[in-house]
Amino acid sequence: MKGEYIYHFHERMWHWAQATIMLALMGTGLEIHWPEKLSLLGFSRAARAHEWLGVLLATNAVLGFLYHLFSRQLRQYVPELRSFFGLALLQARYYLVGIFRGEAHPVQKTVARKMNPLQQITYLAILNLLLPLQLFTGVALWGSRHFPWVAESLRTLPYLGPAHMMGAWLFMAFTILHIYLATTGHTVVSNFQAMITGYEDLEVVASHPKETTR
Amino acid sequence: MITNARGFWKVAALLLCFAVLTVSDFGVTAEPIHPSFVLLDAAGTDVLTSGAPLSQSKTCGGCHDTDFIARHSAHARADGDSAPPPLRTWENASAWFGGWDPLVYELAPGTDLKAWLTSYGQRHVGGGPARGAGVELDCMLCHLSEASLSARQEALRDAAFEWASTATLSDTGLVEVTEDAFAWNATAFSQGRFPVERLRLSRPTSERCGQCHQHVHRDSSPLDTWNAESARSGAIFSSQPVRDSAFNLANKERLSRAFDVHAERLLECADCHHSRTRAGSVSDVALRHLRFDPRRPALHEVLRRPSHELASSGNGQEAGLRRCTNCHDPSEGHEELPSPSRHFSALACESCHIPEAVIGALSHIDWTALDADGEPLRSYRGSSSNPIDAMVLARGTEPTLLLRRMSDGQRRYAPHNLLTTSYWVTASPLRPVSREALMRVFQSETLQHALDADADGRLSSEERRLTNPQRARLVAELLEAEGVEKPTIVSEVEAVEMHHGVTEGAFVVSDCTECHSSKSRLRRPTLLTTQLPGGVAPHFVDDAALELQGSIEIEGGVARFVPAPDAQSMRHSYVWGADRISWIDWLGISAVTLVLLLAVTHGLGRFLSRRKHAVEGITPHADKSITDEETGKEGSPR
Repeated sequence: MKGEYIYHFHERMWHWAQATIMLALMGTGLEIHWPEKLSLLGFSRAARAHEWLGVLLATNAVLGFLYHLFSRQLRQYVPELRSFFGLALLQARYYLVGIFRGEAHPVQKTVARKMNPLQQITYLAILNLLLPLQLFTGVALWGSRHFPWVAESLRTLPYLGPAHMMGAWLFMAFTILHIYLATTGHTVVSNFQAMITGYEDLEVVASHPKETTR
Repeated sequence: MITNARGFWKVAALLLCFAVLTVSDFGVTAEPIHPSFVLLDAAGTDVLTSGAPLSQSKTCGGCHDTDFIARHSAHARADGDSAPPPLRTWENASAWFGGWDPLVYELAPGTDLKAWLTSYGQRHVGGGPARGAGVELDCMLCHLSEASLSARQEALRDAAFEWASTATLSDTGLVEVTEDAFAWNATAFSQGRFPVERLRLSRPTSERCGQCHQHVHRDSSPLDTWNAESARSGAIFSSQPVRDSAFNLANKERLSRAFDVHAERLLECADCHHSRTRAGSVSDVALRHLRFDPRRPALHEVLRRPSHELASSGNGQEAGLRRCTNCHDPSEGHEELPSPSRHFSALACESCHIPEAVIGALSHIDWTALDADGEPLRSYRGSSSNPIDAMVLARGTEPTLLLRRMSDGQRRYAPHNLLTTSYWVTASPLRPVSREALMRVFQSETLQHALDADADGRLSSEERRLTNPQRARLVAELLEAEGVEKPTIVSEVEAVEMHHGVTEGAFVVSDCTECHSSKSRLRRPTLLTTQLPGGVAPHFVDDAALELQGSIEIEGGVARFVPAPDAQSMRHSYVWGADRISWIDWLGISAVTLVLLLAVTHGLGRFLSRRKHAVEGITPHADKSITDEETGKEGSPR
């Protein structure tokens, strides 16, 4: 194993900012949704904080997109179609069976390919469907609060709220899954260390001493 | 400088004279503004000469255009010109003239003016439709502090219509009232003229308005009563701190607020509900090309022809009503309120500034059963009985927030008291059963015997109630025997608007969770009645401005209004923290729980398998990964 600089500074900053903001959004969102059950900031402060956090999330998402675009890292999220299903099945089998047998990860992580196919498809859905849904419904709800005519003209206010809430629940489920699957690195904490330091000891396959790195 | 006793006494005498002159003015206020005048009869003759009834149109008409005033008075017109369509099939109109009021019950007798005057007309100021019976607009009823409404009402009840205006002066000493006659008392006049130095004519004080409208209390004596209109809406117009009143209220010591903050701030009813053309007032007719209308009526014009149309909220609708925003700027003083524009567009000011009716309000008037005095059975919200009874502990009540279309066209939540009325109707013609018929039935021995459950020889309120279907059937049979055709019970709910009893500061609704929580005021069920006569489900009176979202539910004889906003209304007012779709929450919680369980299970499995491998000395396989070279292209197996 050798330490490879796999996550650049901007990636890590974007990731941890996103994580912190999303956790805060979930907390304040729960307080808005269930004010009688959860009262940390108070409903009014939680609502204001939620709005500002939403602005930060949107800003961070845009900056993250621009970074990935100009650094050509967007392709990390695009699965190779020809081999996708095969590798995805292998990865799924690994999570369900192989990991308990101590098998190696079926898809080697490299600088050029930091995510396995299941991760790729998941992040594609999260970043292209769920996140935009939350941003859009959030902006519409913000607009209806500050510009009452928006609430009247949109005609979708009774649907925006529940849609936003559904997205929130899905994000919560994703967050739990994401944190847990981050423990499936070559050690329990290796992925966390990599996302903090940027360096990760990548597995080198013995029969192929020459690695493909970028 | 006083140097000797003589000088001292001179100064003392001067001071004493000054004091006497000053003291002599005590009890005599400033020179009256209104000139003295002679009271005239309809022929224009001095009433002291003719002994005839007073004609206020002739008397006041000497200086004021009483004909103009009578034609420009919503009170005189009884709202006839601008009233919406009648709410019930037996009503001629929804206005006073022809409308039906559950507090009064007496049926407005069609076009029989004289019959109307003896009932509903008792709260009418005269003029308008009452002119046909010789009842003029009674100026002094509102403009004279010593006017007697009760005497006037008695005259109307006795059909002494031409003497109604005279009866108004019963408490002034100017006229003596005996059982069947009115006699002018010349000695009470000031050289044959109206004694303006003793009897003050002025713009209407709030107490005058309180004769017919909500109870007004302006002196320092502990407030201990209310009137029917206050009971209907739960509002009393008084500057007195609630805790200084004589009511028996729960947690009274914390109620340091005034009954109404506008009364506390020394506003009179006429300050907000003023004439459109009062001297110095800005016209409330909006002219698009003008930012400010500098035209003012001259004082003599106002005095000669004072319009008695009351100022509206500015857009021509609901004449006589003023909105809070006519005087207040909501953008000032709400710094702590998040999203103020959203709140102001969804809520009427009263929603937060009338958080409760401090002594409660009427909840149910049951005319299906009369007590020994022929009165209906009344139930109150916030107390077991009438809260003016000192033996009754009153807790106050929260208003019901309902969506109503306001004068500016916007729909907003506003506070209401839901008043349920139950009564018998006869089928042909469809109308309430007369009170006389009901009295005969409830005084009959048959009914007394049948309802007297404890056989004590008298009927208690509970025994009279027709919550038992058998009792209701018995009363129906007895009514039929009285000639009432197909008597049936009707129960209706009226949403009474609440605009007074305003508070400010710490007593205003300021906790967000009052609305933004599962126990939201906007979604809280309201108890209508626990004594539903005949088990008949009540229905809401058709109110065009009210947008009801919810239904009346009945369980075990208890009726409740349960708000249930639909998608149409939630388009206007989706309330965070209060409105949610349960299945989305359940689905979401299930998804999160499932993922958590999977993670814990999977993690446990990994932990156990690692331990097992460690014990067995098995190392993980490290050579099974698919690399980029194996795939050729990134991620593609060969």
